[in-house]
Amino acid sequence: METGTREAIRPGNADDIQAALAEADAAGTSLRVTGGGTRRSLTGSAAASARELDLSAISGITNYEPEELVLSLRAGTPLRDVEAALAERGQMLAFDPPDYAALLGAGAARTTIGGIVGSGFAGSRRLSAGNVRDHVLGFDAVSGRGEKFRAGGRVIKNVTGYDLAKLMVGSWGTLAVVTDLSLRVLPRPQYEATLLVEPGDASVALAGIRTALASPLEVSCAACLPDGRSAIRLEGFRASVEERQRQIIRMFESRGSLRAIEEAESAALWRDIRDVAVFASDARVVWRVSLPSQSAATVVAAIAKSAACSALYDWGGSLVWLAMQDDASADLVRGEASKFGGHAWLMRAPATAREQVVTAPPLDAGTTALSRRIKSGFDPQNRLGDGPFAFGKNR
Amino acid sequence: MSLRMPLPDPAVLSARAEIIKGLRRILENDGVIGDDESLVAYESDGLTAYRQLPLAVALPRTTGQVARILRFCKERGVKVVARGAGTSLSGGALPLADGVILGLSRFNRILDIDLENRVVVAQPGVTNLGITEAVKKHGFYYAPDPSSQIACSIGGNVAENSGGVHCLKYGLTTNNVLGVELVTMDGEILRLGGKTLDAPGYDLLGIVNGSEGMLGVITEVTVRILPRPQHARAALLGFPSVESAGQCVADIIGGGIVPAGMEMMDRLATLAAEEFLHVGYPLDVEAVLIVEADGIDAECDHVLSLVNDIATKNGAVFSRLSNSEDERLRFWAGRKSAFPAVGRLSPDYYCMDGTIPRGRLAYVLQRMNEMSERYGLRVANVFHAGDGNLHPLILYNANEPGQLERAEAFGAEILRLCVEVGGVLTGEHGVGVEKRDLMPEMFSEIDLAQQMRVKCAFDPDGLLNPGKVFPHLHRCAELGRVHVHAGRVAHPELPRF
Repeated sequence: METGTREAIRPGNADDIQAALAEADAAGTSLRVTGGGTRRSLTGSAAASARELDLSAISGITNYEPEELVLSLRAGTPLRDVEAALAERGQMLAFDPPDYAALLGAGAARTTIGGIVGSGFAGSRRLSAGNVRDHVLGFDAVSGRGEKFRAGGRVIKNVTGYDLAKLMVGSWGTLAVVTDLSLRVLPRPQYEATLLVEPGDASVALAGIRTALASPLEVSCAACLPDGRSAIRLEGFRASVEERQRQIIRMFESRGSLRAIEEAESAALWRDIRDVAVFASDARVVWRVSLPSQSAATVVAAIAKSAACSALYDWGGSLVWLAMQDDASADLVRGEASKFGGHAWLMRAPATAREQVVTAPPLDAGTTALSRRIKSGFDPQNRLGDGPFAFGKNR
Repeated sequence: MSLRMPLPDPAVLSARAEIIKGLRRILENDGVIGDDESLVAYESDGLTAYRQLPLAVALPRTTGQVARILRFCKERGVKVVARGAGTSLSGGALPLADGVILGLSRFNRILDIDLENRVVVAQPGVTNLGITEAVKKHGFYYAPDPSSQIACSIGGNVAENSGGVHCLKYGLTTNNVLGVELVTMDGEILRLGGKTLDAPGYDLLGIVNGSEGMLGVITEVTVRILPRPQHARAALLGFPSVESAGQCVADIIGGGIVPAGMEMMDRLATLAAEEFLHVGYPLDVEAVLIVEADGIDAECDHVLSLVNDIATKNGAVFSRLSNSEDERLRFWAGRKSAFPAVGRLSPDYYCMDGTIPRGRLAYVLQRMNEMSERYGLRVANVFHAGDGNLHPLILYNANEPGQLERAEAFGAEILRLCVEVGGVLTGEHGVGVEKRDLMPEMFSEIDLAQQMRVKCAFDPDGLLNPGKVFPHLHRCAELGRVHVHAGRVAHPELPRF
């Protein structure tokens, strides 16, 4: 086991992780699991005694069978290596893993697959292809107890035992240290096109998007940009995409002029939407708000009455990225979202604001208590910390 | 019953009359069954080899009643088994002699059809098909389609994480459920998820899906609905060998195609289906493959022409593309009735449910044929080729002494084989009691202890559906750390079954 700068522990395998946990146990300290570190700013102010457990040395693809649509790999594998290996065989991670390094000011840090799974945020294709949690088939891990365990498998259809993989996704390394993952992969679409609809009022634009999503034209992604344009993405075999495009155009021609972009240009637009590039270069506070799609425009309008903000609507309106000057808007944003059954993550904020506000969306009392019991089943001594959660606070 | 279940609690058995009285009080004398004659209807689920009369049956109508029943049972240490439509093929709803069956059949209403957000909120007793029926006129449907969809309930689907023939493209139940209302054994009502596309905190909804009624009682389900595809077309293909059919499947996937459905039947299953329904299956082939494409016309035509080319390249000796909806449904009719069709060949059959890596299919079938000769029992195979889920149907006669035991031993050997080649014990039917004792084939003591600790977080007294899924009955306090010495576990005095 080598020890790097900032006193991070850099385990090479599960045995090293067990040793690190045993050491933390003996010292009564805690560890903070990291991959590439691009989302470190979200994991809260860890206890001063917490050391980083940097998984970047546990890296590499261990088994890739394109015909089985399954990829097994180590948690520290950089996302770009994964994507390159998949692209070579015409496949992809369908949940569309986002890269928030620029948004979160993490510079040249490299997102790892473990970080993607641990934080659980899916990209624009979540609308049609499912969340991160829908693509994790199985894993190996060391629990906060220091026990090596595994769950799930390497096949798509599996109900053998509890689906612990779901618990690992989005748990931010607070339950167990995942070392190995098996992921479901899918063929990369042969062709793509995006229709851009003229700027309009967000509520009208989102209603138009919902009409498209209620049609059987298999829209893969749908967004409403901060400048008011709508973007509707179609993917698949070229003949099919072109026919669906014609039908979507008919649906929208009364709403003003339409522009179609294809292939690389379309892909670049969606990379920017997925990674929230539009808010990457300014200093505003950024919220990620999850809502029933029909309520999105209403919630944003209510927030805008009290605080200036701009909004990027993804997932057909169900995911709203809000940028605002005001860094004391937690009650406003979370209050309005919760009126409609939504919730909000504080994605980017000055350190001073972070101290006042819990990063992850707060939970009700019953779910909080249950989550605490789940946590202590995996990590009774809290060796792995609370990550972005604060099961004890309620803001 | 040869199956070992947790020993009934004599105190609970002797307090039966009082417990029934308490349940009647909660349900205001409407919906408590306490006489043995009427309880017979609940003695088993779809896995009829195992039967047990429950202590009583309670049929609540409201979430509040469910909460009160659970609190009442918890206070008295009474076990509870939740039951939807009772179609489980793994004994998930098998009663306990000292346990109350909590039947959700009266939770049969659709609460909200929300087309703008493309979700339906339903009570758990609504049938799977009932959801699709409710939104059909609006052009939507609910995608997961287990074969029992006319009868099985959506609450049961969540508990078992049910599949169907369209999983490869549209996912399992867990991928289509956005929220549930769940009552814990403490009588606490929790809402997990909702109408959003993700939920905050640990993915408790994800762990509830497929937890086989052991974590809580589901009283409401929010599912996502999809626009019904404009068209669907299917190809019916016949191959001279299982290997060539398997290679065709691999090449379809490798060619970047995700069919809406892809089903394979071996020779015996094909013969049985054709004899039963006369749908036009080829009889001189070793394997039949049905591949379906859905979407707009251009999509279906393009995909099917690619599939046809790939099949030809792999030596298909029979190929027909559906030219009408009627013809497409005929292709499926044989596959969908494969179980009853095989049932006509033999007095009884035992349905298995392993999943294997697709590429190992030919090897697995060959090994299975060897076992078939050794056990002296025939086996027919239907295979969800898209996702690797294999349903071997072992033919036997329960009236011949020893045949049931031979069939069960054969089945267990098949499932061990599935694990050996990198697959799993169950793809969609659940562990229940049926595969419970095989769990150590896939999981170590520590793996299982970690799953049980999740159970303990929800139900520390182990009162909800005990005796299912886990081969060992542990008390939660003893799960602190599992010590394994020389292959033996720490508490040899605990019940093992």
